[in-house]
Amino acid sequence: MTPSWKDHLGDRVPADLAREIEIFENEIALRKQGKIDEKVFAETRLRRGAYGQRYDNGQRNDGLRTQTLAYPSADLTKGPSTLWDAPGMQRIKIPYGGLNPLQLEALAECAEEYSDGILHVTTRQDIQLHYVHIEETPSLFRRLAAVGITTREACGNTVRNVTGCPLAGVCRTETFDVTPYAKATAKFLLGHKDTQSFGRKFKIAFSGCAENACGLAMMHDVGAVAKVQDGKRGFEFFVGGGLGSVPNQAKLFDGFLPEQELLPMCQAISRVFARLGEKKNRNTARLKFLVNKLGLDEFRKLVLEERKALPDDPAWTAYLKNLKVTDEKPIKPAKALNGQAKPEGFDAWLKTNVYRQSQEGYAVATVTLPLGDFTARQARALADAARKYVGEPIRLTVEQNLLFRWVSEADLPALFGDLRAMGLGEPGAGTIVDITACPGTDTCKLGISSSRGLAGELRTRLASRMIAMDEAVRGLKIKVSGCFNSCGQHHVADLGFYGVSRKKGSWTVPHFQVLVGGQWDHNAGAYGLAVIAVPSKRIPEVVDRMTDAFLRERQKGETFQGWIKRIGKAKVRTMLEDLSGIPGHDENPSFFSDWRDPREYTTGDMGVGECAGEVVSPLDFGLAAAEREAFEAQLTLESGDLEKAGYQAFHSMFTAAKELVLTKKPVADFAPTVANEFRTLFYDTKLFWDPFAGGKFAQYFFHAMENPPSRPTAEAVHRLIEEAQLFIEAAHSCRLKL
Amino acid sequence: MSLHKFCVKIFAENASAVRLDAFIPIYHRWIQKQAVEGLLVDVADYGHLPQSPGVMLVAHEADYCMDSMEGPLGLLYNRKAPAGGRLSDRIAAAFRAALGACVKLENEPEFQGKLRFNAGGAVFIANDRLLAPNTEEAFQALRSDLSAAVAKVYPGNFELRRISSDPRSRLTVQVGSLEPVRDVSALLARLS
Repeated sequence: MTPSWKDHLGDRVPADLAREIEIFENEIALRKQGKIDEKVFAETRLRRGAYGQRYDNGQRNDGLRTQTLAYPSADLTKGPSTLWDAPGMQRIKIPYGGLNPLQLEALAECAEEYSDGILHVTTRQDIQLHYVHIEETPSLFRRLAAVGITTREACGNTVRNVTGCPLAGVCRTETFDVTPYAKATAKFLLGHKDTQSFGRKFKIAFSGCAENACGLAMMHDVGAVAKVQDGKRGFEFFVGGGLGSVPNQAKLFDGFLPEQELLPMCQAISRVFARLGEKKNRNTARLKFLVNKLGLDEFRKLVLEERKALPDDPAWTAYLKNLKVTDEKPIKPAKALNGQAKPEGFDAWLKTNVYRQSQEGYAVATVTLPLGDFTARQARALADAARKYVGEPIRLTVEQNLLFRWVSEADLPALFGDLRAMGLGEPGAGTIVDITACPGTDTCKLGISSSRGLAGELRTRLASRMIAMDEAVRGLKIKVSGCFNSCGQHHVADLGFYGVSRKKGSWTVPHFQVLVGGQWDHNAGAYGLAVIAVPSKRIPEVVDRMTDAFLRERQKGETFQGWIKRIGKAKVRTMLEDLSGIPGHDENPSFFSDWRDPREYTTGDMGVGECAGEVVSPLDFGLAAAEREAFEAQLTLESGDLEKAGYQAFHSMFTAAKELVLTKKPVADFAPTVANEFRTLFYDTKLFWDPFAGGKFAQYFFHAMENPPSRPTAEAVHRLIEEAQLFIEAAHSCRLKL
Repeated sequence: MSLHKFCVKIFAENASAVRLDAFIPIYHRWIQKQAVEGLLVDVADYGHLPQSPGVMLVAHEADYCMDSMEGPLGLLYNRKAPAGGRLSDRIAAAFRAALGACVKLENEPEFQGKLRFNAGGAVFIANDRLLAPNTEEAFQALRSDLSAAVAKVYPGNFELRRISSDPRSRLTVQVGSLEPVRDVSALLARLS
């Protein structure tokens, strides 16, 4: 009999997880026999963290043509348009990013045997493995479960990984350690019956203090920020935040939610979300849409009514009796860094990668992971180093790094030496070189441009200049997403980029939208807006130009964000305008492929006519006008004229819609007529639909048309501008299909 | 032993003469031309990581990496999908695929003859800790099938030596020829 991990691990896998995995294994077998519908199986696997990956529909453009990937299982699917044998991504939840060495070793083994040997840290403190075959996932799950890790509800319409400040418990500015609360919340809601029928995912974050960004509470469905009132612990409790295509700042649900109310309130919110949240249209199904639709007051009223009706559950407060359960004990005595021999490069690393803990004599050391990646071998070496210097405590960060906590300061030189030996001694954590990037076109089905390629390129270029770099520039944050969905958190960076594409004749050119005005501090306190789309290959020039101008023009003590606010987005756009041009294909073919991918960036089978590079259609001009109007709306918003800004944002959508209609038939310059024609010609025919977002972007236009804002708030106009930008991007995509 | 997942690595002789970036367009070209065996899926770039799988040609059955994670830079063939036949035949097939890729790489115009692989040895990694943990017992259990396969590559004399006894690591075996070998093309010819 062939040995199996199930038999080998036996009762080392907790019974509840063992049962879960067994059920999934059976579901795999049933799907192979055609006894489970592909849609049902898709949600089933997603709820175990087993995601699709780029090209899993069996089609891949190789730069010359679209090739069919003829997998052995032929037409068998693991979801709509998702072939069974196509490699997938496995997301692994790591609540609040907390890991121990044993878990790190188990992850390393799984990366080697089921993936490509690489562990990737996400912007929500998960680990992702890529190129995993669906039939290997049960063994992978069992091996992780044996060390206390579950992948359950890592994806799908569930409570996703509960994130938390990675400095919790050792932070100098925290109100109190949020770790036990994050852990209890993750445990309480995992598999809870009230969290099983959401229309969309649900994300929770914990922060130890309001000022610093580590928890990013304001951009989550539920954000809890530690607070003490009258000597009692509780939370400033926010709801309805989120990034995604249209970001939303969370709203204050309760200025002080006592600690004993944390879990029942999460449960009550879950019930209201499950009951009233959108179920059919996934594009409006996040909690933020429900809060906006009902209004905060009505939402709060419903939740409080639900809370009152909840049957009492001892689990709500049981964990409060032992909040020290997550306390960490150092294995080395506290000892100051004083006179130890320092390896070369240590001082630079110390400056950027070491944080002095609130406990004297101890420090947190950040291991900078390039693009959030590390190898299985490095994972084992990190586990060894953890045992040697700190014992258990390791944390992953939302900036895609890894932390050692409780390092005796005297050990820092030795730890640095060990990290350098494993190729992980790079300085620059939290600086401009420590760029956050989602997987983008490397592996994500939604990726438009190569976020990792761009991030890698910027990292290489900036790292070579780090030593001579001005402090003000060194501290900036760059974040890159491969599309508008914001997995790279581009909205909360000093310089954010998200992938889009543009036409040049019959060629398609990878671009990035440049976002400025975002804020990382104050728990992601402000979201940036796009000012201009620039070809991918010119983004390094954007970074150079922006940072040079900042250094030249900033006033004493002025932050990058303050500088942007002072000079205004119009000047930023002017500064970058000449970089938005695309050279002819013959002049510079490199613009027509993406970073670190030599394939021609095309739809593959598109013919190239004579002088194609120089042809600009009326539609191109029209869409450019729409973009300009959306940008002007931003400027008007900045000036404080909300009504005018709202109108301009709406009108930019109208312009784009009208230009599309004009490609089919003449149309009067009258909004209701244009909207009707646009609906008939582009929405009903699905020509305007995004392959993944469906008709969402068109609905922005229809909604704005039917609900003209009266006395709009700045937040509402900000959102309308975001929607207008996405609508115009969708118009560009639609243009490719015409 | 029913081992199906394993790697064969052939080391580059002059790694410093090679830039990892060069493998990106080569692997994309291989996909366009279906230049090596297997269902070729995509190229994964881990060039930003030191001591990593480097640049990887991902296929359904196996990956081809320019790897520096398992020792110095070399071509690592990572067999993933189950295959039929005896284990010794499966291992020999993996050697054939790895050597075939090495020969192709040596002839790619990007390298202008500067890339050469060491024909005198290889590394075999059992990528399945359940069937082949890194123990002396597992090594001995594997030895006969591995020897039978390696004998086709080095029909004269060879040695097998287990590397590292760290139980967390994969069972890894150094394969060395005890006789001079001309080049990887000569080895490939023996398996064809």
